[in-house]
Amino acid sequence: MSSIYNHNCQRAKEARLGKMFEKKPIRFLLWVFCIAFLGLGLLALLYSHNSFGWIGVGAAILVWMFIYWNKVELMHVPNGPTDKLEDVLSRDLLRLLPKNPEPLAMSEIICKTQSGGFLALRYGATPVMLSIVAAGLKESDTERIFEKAREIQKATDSEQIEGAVLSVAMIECFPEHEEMLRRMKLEIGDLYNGIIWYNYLHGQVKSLHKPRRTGGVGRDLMFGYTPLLQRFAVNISRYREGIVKEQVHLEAQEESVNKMIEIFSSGGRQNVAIIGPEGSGRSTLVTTFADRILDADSKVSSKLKFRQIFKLDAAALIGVAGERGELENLVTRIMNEAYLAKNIILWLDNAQLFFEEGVGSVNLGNILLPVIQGGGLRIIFTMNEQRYLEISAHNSQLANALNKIMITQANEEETMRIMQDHVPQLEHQHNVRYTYWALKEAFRLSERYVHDLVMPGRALNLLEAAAGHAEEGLVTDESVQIAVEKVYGVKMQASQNAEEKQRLLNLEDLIHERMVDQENAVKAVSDALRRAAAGVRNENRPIGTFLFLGPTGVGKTELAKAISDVYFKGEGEMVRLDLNEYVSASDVERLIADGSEDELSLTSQVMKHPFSVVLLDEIEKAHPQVLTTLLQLLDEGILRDVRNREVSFRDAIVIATSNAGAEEIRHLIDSGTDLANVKDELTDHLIRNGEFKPEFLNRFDEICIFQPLPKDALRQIVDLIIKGVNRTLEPKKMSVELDDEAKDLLVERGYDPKLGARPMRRIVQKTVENIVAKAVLSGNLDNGGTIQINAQMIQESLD
Amino acid sequence: MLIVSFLQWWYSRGWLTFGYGFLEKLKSTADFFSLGLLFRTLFSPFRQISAYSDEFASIQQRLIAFTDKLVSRLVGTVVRLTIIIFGIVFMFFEAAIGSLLVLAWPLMPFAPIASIVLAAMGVTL
Repeated sequence: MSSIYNHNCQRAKEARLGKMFEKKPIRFLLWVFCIAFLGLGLLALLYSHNSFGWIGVGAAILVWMFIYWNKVELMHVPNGPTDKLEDVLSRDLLRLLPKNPEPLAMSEIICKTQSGGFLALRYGATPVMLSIVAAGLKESDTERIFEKAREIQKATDSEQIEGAVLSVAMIECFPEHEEMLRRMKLEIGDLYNGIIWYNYLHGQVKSLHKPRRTGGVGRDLMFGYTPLLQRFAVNISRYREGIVKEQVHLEAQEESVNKMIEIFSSGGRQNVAIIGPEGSGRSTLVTTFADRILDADSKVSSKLKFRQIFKLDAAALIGVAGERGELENLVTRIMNEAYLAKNIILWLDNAQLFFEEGVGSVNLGNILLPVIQGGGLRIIFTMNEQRYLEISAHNSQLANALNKIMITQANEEETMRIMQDHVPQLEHQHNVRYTYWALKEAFRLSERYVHDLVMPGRALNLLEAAAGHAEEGLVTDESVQIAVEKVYGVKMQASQNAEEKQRLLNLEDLIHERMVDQENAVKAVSDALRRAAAGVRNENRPIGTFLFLGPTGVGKTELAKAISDVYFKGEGEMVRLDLNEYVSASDVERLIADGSEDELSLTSQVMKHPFSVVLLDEIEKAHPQVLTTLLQLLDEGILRDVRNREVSFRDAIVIATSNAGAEEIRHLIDSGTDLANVKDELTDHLIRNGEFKPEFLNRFDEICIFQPLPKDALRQIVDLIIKGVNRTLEPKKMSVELDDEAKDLLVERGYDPKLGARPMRRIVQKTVENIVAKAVLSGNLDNGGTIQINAQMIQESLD
Repeated sequence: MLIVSFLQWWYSRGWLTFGYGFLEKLKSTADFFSLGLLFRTLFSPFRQISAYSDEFASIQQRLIAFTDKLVSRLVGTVVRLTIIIFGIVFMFFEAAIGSLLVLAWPLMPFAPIASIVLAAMGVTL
């Protein structure tokens, strides 16, 4: 098996000749010559009776032979008869390869081929990258590259060695290719898949040129008129007839389509119920089936061939029939029409709409059941599992009469293939181009953030949303991340701008602008956020899970609020649950309730705000069953709601607060125990007393002990509160200043050993804010003025 | 060299490709006129139109339904036969031209030489 390139081989010559005639104007000119020669020749022969007319006819035949040769041979140059390299190289490579194709020359021409360009655009195998690769290869490597190309051709089942195959071969022969690809977030297998993707799309383009046989002008003459169906249903087959494109053939989908064909070709009950979650491809299955039976060349029984699938529009039916009897009458007429036409397959999408009473739905079970059981009319039902179970519960007879085909969500490989299949359509609709990374990212992120659909629907959904964030017409992984950021409010990209970086580096200072002391807890939380922003955290867990332990009024909740304010989208975005409201086992249901039933459930709130601080206040008061439910959340960042949908907490910071062991903390700190030891002793104490189970405490990244606030910290709290008052007065350009005695007095009166600094805000409100209010109303404080408050004024206010 | 390559192609793959393309065209024409389908349903009622009659219908109703169906079948047969005949005629001409070209294929490379000879001999129409 020779891998030496022969520049003078027949195919190479043909390819180079074809290159000269591939331009449209030249081909047009050839036709002009052909017609002109023929016309002149015939004119001369028929009118002038001049024998030289034969030369015109002969020349026309000569030109036509060349046109035909160029069209079917030179423009394609099919594989040669042997296994030699020159017989398997593609035409576009042959027409560009120089006499001595050393690596640098290859790198220059590869991206000029169609498949090489494809790999450059989607996978970044650009001329620049290939020139770096070429620089790392020697001239003598040429033969090795061609040998590798042959291996890749076989591995990817490629018909020829195309530009993409040669591109990957060059990369694989480059000694440092693994390192290079790693930096591009790729593996060599991804490039192999790129070739397969190109081959698939190339095959699709080829199939566009094949004539499609769908029955012809007499097809519909065999069947009856369907005026009602034209009005109340959509003819899916007619729509598909106009689309030449075939859909990707997945093994699971193929099996389901074959099963549909089998059911409809047999003599049994002529119905199929396709049951699967939203986004799993139920409609795609029906359209694939429509395509199959519409194709004259497919091996389908004549009983089924060219049957038309009509999708019944429930809304149109309900809209036109005012009263119940009218609707039943209309549906009966439609069924009769479909039956008598002899070529109709009815499709009831979201079939539950026809089997249940409600807004926009009507129970036609009594009419449909005899039709289904009789088997005279072919019907397809599509619905999700939950709806099917509901129908089964209400009408078991109906459920038993259905031939069920269950479909599940696609796995990663299948989803990638489906996305690759959809990409040309999306690119055409949005006038963009998708990179491979965009597809990978759409899969990864949709799995985490898109909850209402399953794969592949959820990935396709995100992929389409990303088109709106393309840069210079290119949809990259960043476009997908921006789409997620915009739709779900999640910070996806590792911090890029300088301001954001500074904010992250100074998080502790920013947090301390809102709260005082508790250095250990502030540092632990800040570190977790920095890890997340730098992209070095475990992405399969929440950003951080913390248990804040300490007496009341020492800043546990305040720290959660401060984080939400400083790093997330403000205090208002915090998801807060008071677990003292979840004290019985039945409250678990409320915790994970569906958003449509309880918008304040934990799962529905996080579904809406995945990027947030989740504060679980007073966790010690929750029922053990509630705590058990939270275990998976803390461990894997996932919680399933009542509809069994996975809700991701992987972009949230989870903070649980508890007063449990507050006395113990106070006692330990008073006795001078080191804070690190306090944590260990307190944990033992809580487990011993049965407050928390060890497996629960172990789930937290860190247990932070909040110590009682010392006096000087209380002074800082007063300063913070006064700062807050001044912020409120800022629009009126007023301000308030307190002397040291006044602050000391507030600290003395505002501190309660049991309630911590909690009463402080009330005291400030009662004193400082009242003093300011009186000063404003009495006219002693004008706009732009400052009021000085001393201890006596505070004392008078308190009295 | 290219002329040899062209001739090699012309008498091997070129001929086969042309012949295959011609057969494909014939198949597409047969599909366009729905010949197979129309033959299979030649005597079916036109657009499945016929009076409905069930097992409880009176003799008179059954007779009307039978007549109705008979007329419908007759109309259907005429319409289908018309399309079939039109299709067959079309395919006949298509097949004749195609076969002629397939048969003349090996002679085509000689056409330029033949035309020069005919011109030199002064042959006119």
